[in-house]
Amino acid sequence: MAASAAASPRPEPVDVPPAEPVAAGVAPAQPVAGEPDAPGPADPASVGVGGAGDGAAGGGAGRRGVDEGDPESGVAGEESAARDVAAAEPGAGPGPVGMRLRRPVTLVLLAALGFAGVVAARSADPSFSLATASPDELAASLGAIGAQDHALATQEGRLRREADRAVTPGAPGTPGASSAAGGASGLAAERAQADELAILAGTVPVAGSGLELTIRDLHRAVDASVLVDALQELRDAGAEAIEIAGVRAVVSTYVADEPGHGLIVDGTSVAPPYVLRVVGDAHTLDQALRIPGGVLDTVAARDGAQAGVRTSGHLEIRALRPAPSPRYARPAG
Amino acid sequence: MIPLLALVLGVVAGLLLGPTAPDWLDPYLPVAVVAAVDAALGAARSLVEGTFDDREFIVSFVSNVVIAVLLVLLGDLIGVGGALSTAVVVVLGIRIFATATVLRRALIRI
Repeated sequence: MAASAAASPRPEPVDVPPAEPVAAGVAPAQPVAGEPDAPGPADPASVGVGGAGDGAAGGGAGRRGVDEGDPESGVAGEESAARDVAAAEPGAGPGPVGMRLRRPVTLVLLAALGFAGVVAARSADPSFSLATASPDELAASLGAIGAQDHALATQEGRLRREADRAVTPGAPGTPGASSAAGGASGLAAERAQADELAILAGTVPVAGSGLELTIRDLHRAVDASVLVDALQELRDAGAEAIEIAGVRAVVSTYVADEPGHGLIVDGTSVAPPYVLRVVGDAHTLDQALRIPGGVLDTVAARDGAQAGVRTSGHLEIRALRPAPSPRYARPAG
Repeated sequence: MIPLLALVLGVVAGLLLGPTAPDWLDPYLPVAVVAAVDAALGAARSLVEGTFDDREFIVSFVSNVVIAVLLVLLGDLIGVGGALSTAVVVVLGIRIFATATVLRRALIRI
């Protein structure tokens, strides 16, 4: 306050922003209103404020300053020193009762501002608000989070079902997908997938079109490599289930030579003739076996061996495998 | 000096009592605080200009806060709540800067 009172008398064109016409029109009137006994004709509003000489007139000018809040009001700084001193401390000097009551209200408002600022800053800090929240507030917030969680879980389930529907029909690694077409709902899709996996794992008997390949071997000239080639050829041709000499062929199936006797398929000794029963597209499988240099040619080239193919519209494979029970591998994700 | 003490008193009271604003007040409190800061800075400016009046300050303080809160309330009602409170904060922020410029010129003459 003292600084402003000392500084104000000096005219300062540099410090004071350029006055707009409205503000400039007011400024000349203010020194008149600031004179101790002048009625302040130029500014009726200032007379109405308190009607008490300097303080009231200064207050009238102050209304413009506070209300407009514009830099242009800075022109008031050119007023006289006497008026500034009087107006700077309106509550300090003698005045009407209403005037004395306003200062405490001002102070209360400022205190409220500081208080509200702290409260606002505190409520903007989530950790602090949780730390100081009452049990009721915590319960309410927990309930809100729980509801949000539930809504998100519902949304997740819906999106997952949509994703499954979108992925299952054309998923890679589901050969044929003959039973997957009907998987409209999630349960049906799961069942179809379980069926496919059971067929792949050889845990269920299967029936369908296919062929029967019989390899006769009078002189034990057919070795394991012939059967392995036949197995691969049949798989390439889309075989969905294969039985080799009464053994269900699965992903881990192996064929080994057993000198002097025949072959070993998955630990089981088998003797010729070897009968391979295959479920799949009969025509495709047949063609795959008959390609030049293929399985039939290879067998025919062996001494005393011959192969015969009989396609069938309905062929059953009843040989089963126990369900694999992995000890280490677990589904991820 | 006494008004400054009142402000500090409010801050200290807020820190000591540590109240939490009720949930319904959440959208309005920040805007109200910004409006009040604007009014307080305007008062400081009129103080250095020698035109301060308690009545003016009280009226402008209360009306600023009320108008700001009402604007945010209106924004909530017509469905642009966040946008309108941003608008209020931006406009008040501009005013605060303008007022701060005048204050700076009056106090340190730069």
